[in-house]
Amino acid sequence: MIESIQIQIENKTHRNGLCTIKDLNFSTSAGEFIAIVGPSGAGKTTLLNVISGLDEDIQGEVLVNNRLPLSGLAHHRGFVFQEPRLMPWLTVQKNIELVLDNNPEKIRAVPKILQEVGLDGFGHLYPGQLSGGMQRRVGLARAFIVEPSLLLLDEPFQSLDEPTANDLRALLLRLWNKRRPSVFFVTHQLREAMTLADRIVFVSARPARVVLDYQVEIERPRIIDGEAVSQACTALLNEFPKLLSGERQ
Amino acid sequence: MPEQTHSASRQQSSGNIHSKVNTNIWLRACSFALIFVLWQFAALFVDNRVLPTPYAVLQRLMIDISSGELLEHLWITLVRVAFSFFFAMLLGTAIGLIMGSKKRLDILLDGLLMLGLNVPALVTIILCYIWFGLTEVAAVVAVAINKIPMVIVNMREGARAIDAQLMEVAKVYRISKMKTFHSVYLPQLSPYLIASMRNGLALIWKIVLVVELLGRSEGVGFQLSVFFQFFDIEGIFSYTLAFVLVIYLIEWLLLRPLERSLSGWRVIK
Repeated sequence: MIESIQIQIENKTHRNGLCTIKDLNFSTSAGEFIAIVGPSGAGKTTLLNVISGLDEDIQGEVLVNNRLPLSGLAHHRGFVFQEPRLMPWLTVQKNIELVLDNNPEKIRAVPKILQEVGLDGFGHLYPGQLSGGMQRRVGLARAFIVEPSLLLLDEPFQSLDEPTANDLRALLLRLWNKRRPSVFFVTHQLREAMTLADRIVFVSARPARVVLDYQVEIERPRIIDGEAVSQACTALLNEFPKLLSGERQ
Repeated sequence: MPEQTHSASRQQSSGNIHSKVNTNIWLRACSFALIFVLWQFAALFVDNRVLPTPYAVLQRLMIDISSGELLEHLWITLVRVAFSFFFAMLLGTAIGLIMGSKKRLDILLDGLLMLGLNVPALVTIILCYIWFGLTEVAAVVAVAINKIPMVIVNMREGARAIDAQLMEVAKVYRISKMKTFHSVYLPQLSPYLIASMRNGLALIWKIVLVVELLGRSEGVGFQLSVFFQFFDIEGIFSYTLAFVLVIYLIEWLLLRPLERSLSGWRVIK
């Protein structure tokens, strides 16, 4: 059981000599929704890859409950990428089944999750037959079907029109509320982070480190273009005008 | 739901697709008919000992088939084609995929590959017969050696085109090695595999005939050389026609259905 996750990265230098993360530390408790906000090219995607265990070539550690390395733990993790990254040769149903290890009980649960994400009756279609928004719904279904205790999202609603993105944000919150995985949500949109997250970790430009750890106090449910979110954003940016460029002052 | 499917427009266009398929079949039939018409026409003006008429060839084909001789030689040749094809595809695919994913090995073997691509088929055939004797194994090896480099080049391209992002999905979700191979890796290679198979079939049966002509005493290639010595042009045409028909059958009954099942998702849009 994940009670907390500690991220302690001293240094992440890529093979080409580019240092993308330096002295980045923060921790999260179980079921917390954390948004990671920073300028483009700040190493946010690298950070997600490190947390998920895709990238293990780092100096530092990602620990669970203060001791176990996360990568060694047999927990389930979900990952929603910038692009939907579905297999174009598999139907929606098969795409979701792909991440299940042939467990008949879980496979029986696929139609249910499709219904939950609003794709009831679309299981037999190929990703190429779906709109971008629907493909992302499949991506969310694929992430949640594994019942993850850790969910990572890398700017998942970028390149969608605002109404579609809003529908998907609401869907994400619904799914998260029901199962309560720990979430790391990377974005560069402050408003989106403010609407979704319990906490926002602002990181600097490359090499990434934490510039501000901000607790969102707005009551849920929040509306993305509502008064409360707007006010919080304005207040924060008044206090730290250069925050979105990754600077505190 | 704000998003919309295109199912309505798809259903509408599926009728058009069917009529399109029908037109295509007619066009194909026409192209066959055209070949025979041109052939017949040409035969009117040329000495029929040099260019027999289609009718004469068909008659001869019936005789060759009913005597059982043609089918026997055809069968032997097809078995050789099948064996060479199988080994060439297997080895070529394996080596090509490894070269496409391991940079150093690729550089190391590239020179050898170039050599393999450019040595004339005749040279490998003669050398195989000299080194391994006039045997069945030598014949199959000679054909396979000619085809393997081409399969390697094709499959290496396929391996290089593998989408790293999709492979990452498999890694994040801890999909088993086997499942990753057949559901994530292999489908990306299928166009390259099909192309290799189609080119392979066309090339291999031509080379098999040469191999038979040079060092075997049965098979279509051997028969053709006999006809050549006796100036039996009807025989040459009759055997060629039979073989081409078989190749068409393989294409339509094996390759096309395989292609449809592997890349059907591309068509449905």
